[in-house]
Amino acid sequence: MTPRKVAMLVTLTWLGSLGLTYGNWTASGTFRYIDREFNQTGFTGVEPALPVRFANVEVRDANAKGGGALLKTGATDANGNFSIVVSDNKTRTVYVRALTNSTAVAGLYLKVQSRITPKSPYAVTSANVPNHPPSANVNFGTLTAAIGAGGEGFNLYDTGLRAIDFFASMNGARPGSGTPLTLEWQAAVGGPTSSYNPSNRTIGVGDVSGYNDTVVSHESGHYAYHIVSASDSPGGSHHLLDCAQDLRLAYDEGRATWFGQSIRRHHNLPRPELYVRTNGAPGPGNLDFYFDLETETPYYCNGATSEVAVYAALWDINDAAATVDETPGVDDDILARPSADNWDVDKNYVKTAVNKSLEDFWDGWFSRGKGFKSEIIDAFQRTNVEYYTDPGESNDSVATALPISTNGTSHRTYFADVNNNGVGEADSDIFSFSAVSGTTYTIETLNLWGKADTSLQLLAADGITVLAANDNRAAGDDSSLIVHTAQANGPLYLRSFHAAGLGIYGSYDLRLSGSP
Amino acid sequence: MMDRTKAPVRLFRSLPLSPVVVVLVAGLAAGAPCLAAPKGLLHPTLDPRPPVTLTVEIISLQKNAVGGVASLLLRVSADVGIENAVVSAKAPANLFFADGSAVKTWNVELTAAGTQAIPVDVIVPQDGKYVMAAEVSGTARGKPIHRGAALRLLVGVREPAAKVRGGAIEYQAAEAGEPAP
Repeated sequence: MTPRKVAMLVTLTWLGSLGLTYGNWTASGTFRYIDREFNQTGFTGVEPALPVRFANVEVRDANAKGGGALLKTGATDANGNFSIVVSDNKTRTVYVRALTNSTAVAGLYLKVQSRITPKSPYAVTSANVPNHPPSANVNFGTLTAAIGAGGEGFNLYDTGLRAIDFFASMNGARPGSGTPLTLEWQAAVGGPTSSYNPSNRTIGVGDVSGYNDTVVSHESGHYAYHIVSASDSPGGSHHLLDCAQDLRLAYDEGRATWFGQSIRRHHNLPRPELYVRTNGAPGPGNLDFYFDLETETPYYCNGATSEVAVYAALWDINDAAATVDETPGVDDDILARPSADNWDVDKNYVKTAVNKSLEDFWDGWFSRGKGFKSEIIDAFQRTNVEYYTDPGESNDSVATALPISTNGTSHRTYFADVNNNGVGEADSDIFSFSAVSGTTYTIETLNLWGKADTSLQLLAADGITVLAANDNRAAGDDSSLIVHTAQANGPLYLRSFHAAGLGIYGSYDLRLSGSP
Repeated sequence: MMDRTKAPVRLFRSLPLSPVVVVLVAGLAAGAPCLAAPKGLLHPTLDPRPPVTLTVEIISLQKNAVGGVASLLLRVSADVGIENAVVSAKAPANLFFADGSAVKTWNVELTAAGTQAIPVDVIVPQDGKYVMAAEVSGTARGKPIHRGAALRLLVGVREPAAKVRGGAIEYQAAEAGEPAP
C-alpha cells in the first residue's frame, strides 16, 4: 500500500468515526438572460432569452451564513449549461445562482458589478430546494434573468464577453489576469453617461445603458486599445457634429466606435453599422439617438479632426458586401480587409507614435505592409480624409513652383510621398504667379479639412525675401490670409506649409485674387 | 519613408518651444522621478453624443391620498445652434398634464446654442410606477438631430430594494425549472 493510500484510508476512518456520511451530487441546469434587440428606432420589442455564457455558478446552502454557505463553484458553458459535482455530508436547503463574474472560468477576467460600495456582482438564483439529501442530483431547469431583475447585469456581462472574444480573435488570446475588464452599472445610479476609466480598467455604464450594447462596446474599445496600444486623447466630452475636434481625440473616439461596431460584425449580429443608444425605458422604441457608420448619417464631417470621419474611414476598411447591414450584398467601397489588419497597426505602430491620430494609422498601415493603397485612398476619400499627393506635386521648392492663376481657387493637400510607398511626409507647397505693380492680391486658405493648419508666406522674386506672412487669420481660425499690393511687375512666390502643432497632413483650398 | 513611431518631424515641430518641455526640464532638474515609457495619456473617456442633450428631472412631488402632482423640469442644452428645435413630452397611460392633455410640445429657441428649461406639472391619479418620455428634435448644421430621455416616476410606491446575499445582488430567476431532488 502506497503512503497516499494509507493517508486516504486514515482520513476516511477518521471521518467515519465522526458519524458523517459523505456523498456526491450533481447540480445541473441552464442559465439564460432576457436580451433586448434594437435598431435605428430603438428597441424593437423582440426580447429573446440568450444563454448566460462562461459565468460563475455557485451551489449554496440557503440557510448557512458566511463562507459556509458556498458549497461549490463552477461555471456555465457556451450554451449557458452547468453541471457541478458537489461533495456534501448533510441534508440542507440548497439553491444555485449564476453571477456576473468569471473567477471559475479559465482565462477569462471579466466582471460586472454595482456602482455603489460595497460593489457587488449581480446574480440570478433558483428557487430553494429544501431537505436536499447529500447524494441526490438536482436539475434546476432553465433559470432566466429578467429585464429589471438581473437581466441588465447579464446582458452587460455578455456584451463584455463579446468584446473580449473579438479582442482574442485579433490578439491571439483573451486579456490576461493583469488586465481584467470591469463594468459597473446600477439602476438609477451614476447618470446616463457611460465612460471608460483607464486607471482601473473600468467601464462606468450609464444607468440607461443596461441594454445599450453599442454604447458599452464603444467603451470596451477604449479598454482594448488601452491595454494593447495607447492613446494621446485629452478625453472629456465630445459631440458628433464637432468637425474640428482635437486630432488625437477624434482618432481615439473614432477607433473605439470602430472596435465596438466591429464586435457586432465579428459575431454576425444584425445591423453592425448602427450605433444605438436608448433611454432605457421598458417596451419598444425609446430611442435616444443613433448613427450609421456605413452611410455616415445623420452625422457627417470632412477630415480626420472628426470622430465621425475616423470611424467611417476605419469601418470601410473591413466591411464587405457580406456584412449584414442595411444593404446586404452591397458595399459602397471595394476594400474588405480583416479587422486584424487594423489591430496590428494600432498595436505595433500607433502605440509608440507621438500625438496618435489617424495620420499615424495611415502611416502605420503602409509601414506594416498592409497595402491596398488605391483602395484605402478611395475609402478614406469618402469622408475627405485625403492622404495623398495633390496634382501640383512636387512643388516643394521655388525651382519647382507651380504656376497658379491670379484669380482662382484650387484644392491642395499637405502630403508628400517621395518614395511612393504610401507612408507620407510633411509637405510644403510653393506656387508662383505673375504680379502686376499696384495690384492688391488677396491670398487665402479656405475649407481646411483634417487639421490642415495652414501657414502662408509670400516671397519676393528672389524666392527668399518674405514680403508677407500669416499663420492664423484670426484667433481660433487656422486658415491663413495675406493681402499684399505688388510694388513691381514680375513673379512672386507663395509658400504654403502646415504650421507647427498637431498633425502634418490635411487638405485645403487655396484662393488667389487680385484687384487693381 | 517616415517612421511615425519615432516621429522626428512631429516631435520637433511641436515640442521645443512648448511650455510643457520647460516644465518637464525644470522638473527633471529638480530631481523629479523619471517618467515611464510613453503609454499615452490616461484620461477617462465619455461616450459619443449629438450636440444637444435632454434631461427630465422631478423637482417635487405633491402627494395626495391617492396619486399626486409631479412637477417636472425638462432641460435641453445645445452645443451648437439648433434650428426648429421642438421638445415634446408624452404622459403615460392614465396620466395627464395640468391642462388635461396627454402630449405636449414646445418650440424652443436654441439657434444660438445654450440651455432652455421647461417646467411642467403632471397629474398622477393613481399610485404606481410610470415612465415619462420626452424628446427633442431639430436641425443642426443641416443635419437632423434627435435626443430622447425618460424619467422613472414613482408615486406612492418604492422600487424593491435589491437583495444582497453572499456578496452578490440576487434576483429570483423568472422561470425556475422543476427541481428534481
